[in-house]
Amino acid sequence: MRRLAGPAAVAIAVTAIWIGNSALWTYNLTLVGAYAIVVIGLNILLGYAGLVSFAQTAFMAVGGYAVAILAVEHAVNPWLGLLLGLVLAGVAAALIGLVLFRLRGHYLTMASFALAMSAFGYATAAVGFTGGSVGIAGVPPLSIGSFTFTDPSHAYLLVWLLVGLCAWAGVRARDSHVGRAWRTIADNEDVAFSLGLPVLRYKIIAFVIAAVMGALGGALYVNFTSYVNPELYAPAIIVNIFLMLFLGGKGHTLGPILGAAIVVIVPLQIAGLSDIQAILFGITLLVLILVLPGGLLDAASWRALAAPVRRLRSRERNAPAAPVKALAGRARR
Amino acid sequence: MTAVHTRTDLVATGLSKAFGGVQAAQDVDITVRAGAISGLIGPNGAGKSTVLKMLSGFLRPDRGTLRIGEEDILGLGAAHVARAGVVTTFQHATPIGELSVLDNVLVGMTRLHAGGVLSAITGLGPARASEREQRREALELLERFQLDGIAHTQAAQLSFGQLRMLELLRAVAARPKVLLLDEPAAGLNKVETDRMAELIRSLSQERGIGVLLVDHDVPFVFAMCEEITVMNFGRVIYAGNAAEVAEDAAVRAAYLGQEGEGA
Repeated sequence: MRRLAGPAAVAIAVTAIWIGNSALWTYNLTLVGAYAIVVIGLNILLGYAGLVSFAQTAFMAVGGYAVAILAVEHAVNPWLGLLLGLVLAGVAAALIGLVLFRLRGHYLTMASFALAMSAFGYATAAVGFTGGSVGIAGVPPLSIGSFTFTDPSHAYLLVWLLVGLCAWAGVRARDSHVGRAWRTIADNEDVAFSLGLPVLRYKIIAFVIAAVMGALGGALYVNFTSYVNPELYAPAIIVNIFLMLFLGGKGHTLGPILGAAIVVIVPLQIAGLSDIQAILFGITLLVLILVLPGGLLDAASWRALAAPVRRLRSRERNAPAAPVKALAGRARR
Repeated sequence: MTAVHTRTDLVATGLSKAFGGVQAAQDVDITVRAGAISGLIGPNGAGKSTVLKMLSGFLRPDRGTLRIGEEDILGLGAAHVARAGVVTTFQHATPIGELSVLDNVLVGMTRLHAGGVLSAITGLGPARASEREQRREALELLERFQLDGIAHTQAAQLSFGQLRMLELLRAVAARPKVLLLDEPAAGLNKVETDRMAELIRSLSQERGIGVLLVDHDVPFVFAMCEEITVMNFGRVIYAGNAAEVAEDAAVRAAYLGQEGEGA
């Protein structure tokens, strides 16, 4: 079942494009893919290693601005810009991780939030470098020779290929000795210490992978929309990214993809409708998280949800028998 | 303490630790010999846990020395101490519930795994061969103790007794020179306790692992150990032969006399 996750993702993606064969639909699904990559990274960090970090948007910004600044201001090939963005995000994450993972729990989370806020603040304030709140427009698309990914369906295929690659890498890492170490650290850090695991190193590995995927998603998004500005990395986006993961199901391979699809697509579909629709969407999400805390793909959450119904049914079935048993017990006493 | 130590004896001298005004452990000497099973007993609050935490690197002693063989491991921290060969198990069994039994044993071998994360993801480089080798070794270990039948069962599905055995096997998988076991038989029934005792004995004999049992269960420790250290109020009140400990007046007064109340 778990091994089918990758092919299933591709199948879903292909079906989706077939169902809604329109340029807008394809474009929207391309954005879903870019976010899905960001959330797959967060899933490795949070779903596997148990580290709650809000810094994912900071690394998206690194990827997005790297590709925009290099391509627009310095005429660097977008592919090279994207690659440099990933390397920069990875190196930055490794260095930041050395300091950040001296903290644990809420302190770690707060420090990571400060990181995200700093990135947002810097992008807004450094007008000469990032274009400030106006941002940078005219980011050229990715291309291979004369084959450019300006055509939405080309971009779509590229992004979803990368989604599949990232999901596959995540599964491979999860099922390796590194993944087992992550689970152990998430479950009980003292056990990891007692067995001599280099806990800090494994945390940094997860953080770097998440950062690189964050930067990849961020860069792809900017490439396809051809535009970057600080609002792409605003605090509200952090919330959205967490919502995507928890809605889909953290720790589940397809959770980030499903979550990204819902959080990106549904608001677009209801955007033209009244404000009430948006509020209803918010309430629906809240209720979903409340009744399915493990996410939509979490079987255990569905079972827990169905449990009262099952109990009620079995009570009905046993109803005639129960009083007899109770009487027998009383008589014996 | 002028005995000749082998290269893998764990030797602690003068370990002391105070919490605020409370002297939890004072001048504790303790030796865990390679291939032998030693015991550390004492009434509740005697300082056993404090000593265990200092030996395993989870607690930094105020004073004292701590060596395994020639290596000074005082104040190194738990992960370093484990890498030097001193591995601890916990009082509450801690296998990872969502992982299989086999995977839990493999967790114990993590630090011996060759290859980094990229090698593991791509299947290139040393990770693949190392993974195969470790799986084989882990299965052998499970087979040796008749747990191979549940190798692919989720640890969350195990009975309490099985969890305790898995906890021990995971520690053994880390190839320790010395095992520190915190109440390994706590909560086990008679059959499980016997099985645990046999497991610990064979591990010690077959692999030359030095074992320290830290336990409340006096009969269990007496049956297992040649040498016993008894603590009370943070001090060692007896250290020596298990057969003679029951004759010691101080021990009887401090510990065995309280048996009735404790149980």
